[in-house]
Order: sequence, then structure tokens, then C-alpha cells
Amino acid sequence: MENFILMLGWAGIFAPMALGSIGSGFGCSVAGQAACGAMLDVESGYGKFIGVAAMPSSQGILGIVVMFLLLGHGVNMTTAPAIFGIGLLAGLALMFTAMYQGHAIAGAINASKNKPEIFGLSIAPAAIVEGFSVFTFVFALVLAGNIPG
Amino acid sequence: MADNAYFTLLTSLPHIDSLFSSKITAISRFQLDKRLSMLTSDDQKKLVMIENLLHWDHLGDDVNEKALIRQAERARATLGTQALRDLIDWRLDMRTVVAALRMKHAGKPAPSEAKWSYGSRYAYIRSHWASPTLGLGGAFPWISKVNEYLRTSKCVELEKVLLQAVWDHLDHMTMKHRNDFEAVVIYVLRWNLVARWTTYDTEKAHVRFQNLIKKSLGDFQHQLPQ
Repeated sequence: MENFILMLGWAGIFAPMALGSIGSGFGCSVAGQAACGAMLDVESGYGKFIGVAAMPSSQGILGIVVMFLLLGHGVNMTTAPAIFGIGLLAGLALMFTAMYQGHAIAGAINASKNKPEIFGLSIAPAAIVEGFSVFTFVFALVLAGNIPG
Repeated sequence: MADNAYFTLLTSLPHIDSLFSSKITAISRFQLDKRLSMLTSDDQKKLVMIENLLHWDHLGDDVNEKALIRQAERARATLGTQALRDLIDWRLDMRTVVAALRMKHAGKPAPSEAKWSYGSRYAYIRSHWASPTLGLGGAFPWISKVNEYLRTSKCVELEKVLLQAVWDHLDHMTMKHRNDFEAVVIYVLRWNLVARWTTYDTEKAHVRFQNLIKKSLGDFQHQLPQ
């Protein structure tokens, strides 16, 4: 039982990074595919499509920061349950926000390709999704600071 | 093709703005076919089948209606999703409704054959033959306009109402399908509508009309007064 709880603790440490990376990979892939498609249809402005397609990579980076912060507490019988809870839920939140941010960016690329003047506005939904990732990150840090032991 | 892989194809296609104000298609058929080659061979086959079913350009003047009905049923059965089947049914129902309205306008009685057309409402239409809207005024609100234009012989207006009805239906479907095979089908069907509208040619229509008259009259054409 003790080993199982310790294993959950380690899973909780790695979860934000692993799940965040899965989400970032998926989101960047979707947005990147949209960017590639848009480049077939427009004559210029390729750079901004590729640039914005990298936006879902931030969740992977946030996951790495959360992972190191949780790692700093050390895994023992006291900290493992808290680390697992915070790490797993933060990881899931980062994963899904990255995935859906990819969809939002694909939509933004499709819209701004046809109407370049709305490029800035069209990435607002993706920025709002990014906001939720940052909420998750910040409150994961706050909660991690309160882990007993 | 994985669902997410449609992103590249769909974003590579230029936006189709509107139907009647378009002067040319947003993309040539050659370029469109090149882009559609990103689809898997299964999807490409399905798309060709749908286009063949919904567009009559490739059909000759002597159409075997029974064969066409059988072909439509076979094609419908092979479509993978309910959304595609609903789309095909809607278009085929529209054809059946317009055919019925034209028949009624020509004073013909209800078809005697039970399976007289395709789609999902042919039996209902046959049983509601006496109704001016075939009992489908709610499902197809444009029927009353079609009746009016048939009565007043306003062919261009009639064509516009029908094209607009299809355009609106596809527009409505676009809301539900953003990055899947259905979205590709909807795009191609919208492209076809614009292509059809922008290639209407009075001269060609006149020549075709004359040819049809000659063909209908056959040997009797020489007996007509000049």
C-alpha cells in the first residue's frame, strides 16, 4: 500500500508535464495543419500563421514548471496524496486547454486567412483559453505551496 | 483520414462568400481537385459518388429513372454517417418535391407507381398530392414561391429560389460541421452551386433548347410552318 501511494505521488509529479505535453502536441498539430493549409491559399503572411500555431506549446512549459515545483516537496507518505491530486488535475486541465486552444487557433487561421485585418481579434478566443491555462498554473502553485510536510 | 487531418484541407480552400454575387468560383475545379487529393481514396470515392448522385450534368437526355432511383439507394447505403445520409435525403427530397410540383403544374395525376422517385418523402408526397404544398409547406417553406413562379413561368426566379434553398441548407449544416468529411462535402456542394450559377449562359441555353425541340419533334419538325 505504501509503495502504491508513493507511486501515485510520483505520477502526480510527472502528470502536469506529461499531460501538458500531450495537449501541446495535439494543439500544435491541429493548429499547424491549419497553418499549412492556409499557406496553400495565401500568397504572403506565412510567418504569422506558423507563429500563432505554436501557441499551444505554452501548456507543456507550464506543466514543466509545476512538475519542478511539486518535485521540490519530495515524495513521502504525507506529501504523495496532495502531489497526486494537484499534479493530475493540473495536468488534465493543461492537456484539455492545449487541445482546445489548437482548435481555436485553427479557426483563427481560417478566418484571418480570408480576412487578414481580423488576425489580432481572431486569436482572442485562443488567448482566453490560454487564460484558463494560466489560472490552472497559478492555483497549482498556490496549492503546492500549502502541501503539508 | 483522422478527423483532425481535415484541418489542412479545409483551411487550404478559399472562403466562398456568397452565391448570387459571385462572378467566378473562388477556386478553379482543377485546383479544387488538387486540394481534394489530400483526402484518402475512400473519402474521394464517397465524394465522387455524392457529386454524381446530386448533379445531373453527366447524365444524358435519356435518363432511366428506375436505374437512377436504384443507384441513389445504393449510394445512400454506403455513406458512413447519418449527417451525410440526411444531407443526401434532403437534396433528393427537394428534387422529388420540385418534380412533383412540375407534374402537378402540367396537370398530371399522382404517380401510380409506389416507388416513383427517390429520397425519403416520395410516398408522403404521393399521398398528399392534392395539397398545394404537398403537405410539406413547413419542411420546405420555399414550396409556395416555387408554385407561384411555376404558375407565372418565371424560370430565372424559380431557379434562384431553388439555388438559395440549397445554399441556405448547406449554410445551416456548416454550423455543425467545421473540420470533418461532411465539411468537405458541404464545401464542394457549395462550390458546385456557385459554379452552376456563374456558368449560366443565355446563348448556350438557347442552343440547347433548340436542340431539345428538334429532338422532341423528330421527323415532324419539317412539317411545321416556317
